[in-house]
Amino acid sequence: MLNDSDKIDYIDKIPNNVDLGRDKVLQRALEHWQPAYLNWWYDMGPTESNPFHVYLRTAMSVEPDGWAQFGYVRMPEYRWGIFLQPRDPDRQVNFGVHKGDPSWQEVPGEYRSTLRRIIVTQGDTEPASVEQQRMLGLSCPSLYDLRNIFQVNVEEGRHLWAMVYLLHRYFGRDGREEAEALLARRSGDADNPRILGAFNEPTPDWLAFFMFTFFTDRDGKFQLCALAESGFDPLARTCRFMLTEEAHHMFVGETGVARIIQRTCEVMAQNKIDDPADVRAMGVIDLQTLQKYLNFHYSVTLDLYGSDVSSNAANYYTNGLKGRFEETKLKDDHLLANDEYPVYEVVGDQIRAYKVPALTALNERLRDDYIREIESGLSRWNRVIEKAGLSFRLTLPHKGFHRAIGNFAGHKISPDGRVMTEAEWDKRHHEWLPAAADHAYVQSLMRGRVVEPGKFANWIAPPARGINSQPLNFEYVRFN
Amino acid sequence: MPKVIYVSAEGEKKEVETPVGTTVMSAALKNGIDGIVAECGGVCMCSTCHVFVDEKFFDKLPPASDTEEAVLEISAEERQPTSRLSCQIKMTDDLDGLIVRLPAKQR
Repeated sequence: MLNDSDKIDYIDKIPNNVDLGRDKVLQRALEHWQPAYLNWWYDMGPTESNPFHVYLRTAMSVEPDGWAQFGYVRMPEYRWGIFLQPRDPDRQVNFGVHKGDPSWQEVPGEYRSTLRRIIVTQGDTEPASVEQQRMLGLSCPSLYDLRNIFQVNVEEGRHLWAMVYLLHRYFGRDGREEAEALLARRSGDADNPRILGAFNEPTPDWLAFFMFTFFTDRDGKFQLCALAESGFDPLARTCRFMLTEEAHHMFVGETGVARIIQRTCEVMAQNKIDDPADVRAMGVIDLQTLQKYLNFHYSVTLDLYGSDVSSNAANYYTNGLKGRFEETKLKDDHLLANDEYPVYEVVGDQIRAYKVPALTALNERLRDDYIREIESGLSRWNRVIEKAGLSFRLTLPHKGFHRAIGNFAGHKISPDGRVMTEAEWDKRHHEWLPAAADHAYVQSLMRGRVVEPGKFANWIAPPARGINSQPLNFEYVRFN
Repeated sequence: MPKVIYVSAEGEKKEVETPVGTTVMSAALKNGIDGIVAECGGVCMCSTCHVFVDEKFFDKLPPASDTEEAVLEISAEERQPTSRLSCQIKMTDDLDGLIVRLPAKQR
């Protein structure tokens, strides 16, 4: 719990570019919320980590030439700042029925509850992922990785601050209540769970963590990109800056999985083995298990985009609240009233495409944008395997595989896109998704943490280089 | 004022006057060069401002830091010997006429 002596001078110690010190209403709101936030961090932040001094970057401005400052900090003392990209006085609403109007600096009354819901849903994912990952510090494969997960955690905390700032600043009493509720929900809690399903799934091991940061944080990126197009300018500017931090989270995920692949391939090549049992006997993660984890995290994340056909998504767009990925770079009328977009449905034992009004298919479109980027990352992972001279290739399962939301929900689709019977699925799904034995094997590799500077667990290769040009044997975390 | 010449993957050239001290990434964003994304905001944490520097200029650049080298490993289009992150290239008078080729994809 937070003691009086732990209180932070929020005016001096919260880096910000929103003139916090001059806004007394906001100041009082934050005075009330900040101790609750710190209590949440002590309760639900990384386990047993509070005394550690961690080599973290802290956002200090929004300038491209060095918005981040690196140094040792105890995580509860991290300077969770509030940053918005600088305001462009000429910015307009760029899509929907308000296209061409000046962007809104205050919340339009008619969209108040919708915008609040959008912000709360985004904000809820931030503390959720910290809660999901809180035990992983106890089994880290290196100091480098321990520092990286802590960096991800504090920045997810900062993203919560970003959303709470909007709730406090623009939504009055309702916003303050929502900000409190963001600290009350708990990932996986039966009575008061986080809002989105994927954020109630456990992140039980480091392979799951790396997959999560590659797949699920990337969903976060695409949602932020869509919100960064919003006609509500403070939301757009907040999300724009959050994206800069999200880039590092995806770096952690992509390189984390790549290093596991690299280590497995090294062991396979050195020992001339390819049977998964032989690979496991060497204490590394076989490529087949990596494929299963990939299938799980990819499919669960696809659900986060929502229903394939959605009137909510259409309304968000038409009203200028949430745009498409890279909206302003797209060459069309930005109204979409006469356009169509293909979605898929299961008819009997076939999957067929059909066209729907593009406005109602915006979730599906964002999901497709996401899939294209995922394919690019997958090709980089396969490059690692190819360079090792192995013929195995990781693949993305069909879009309908293991889906619980949208047109594929309730259907059993194989990774190669065949509609299956329930019986066939029951017989075979352990070939494609991690079974209890797979989780048990992966977790058996991760008992205890590796904390000697420069050392790495057997199941993961060292990174090519350290953080902020520090050497690999740098003391990224001091335990004191 | 020194100039940077951006060459798109399709071969289209665009010349941009770039003040000394400005990064090649920043000048691209300000001048609407589509092939530079700069997802991380220019702090060498992603690889979406990847460029291939013309060989005539490559040796004039200060060497890449360890961080830049690490981030180049995850570029969408595989890195080449003259790959750099444009957020790490600051304009100087000596670099006037700098030619950078943009990869076909940044993500």
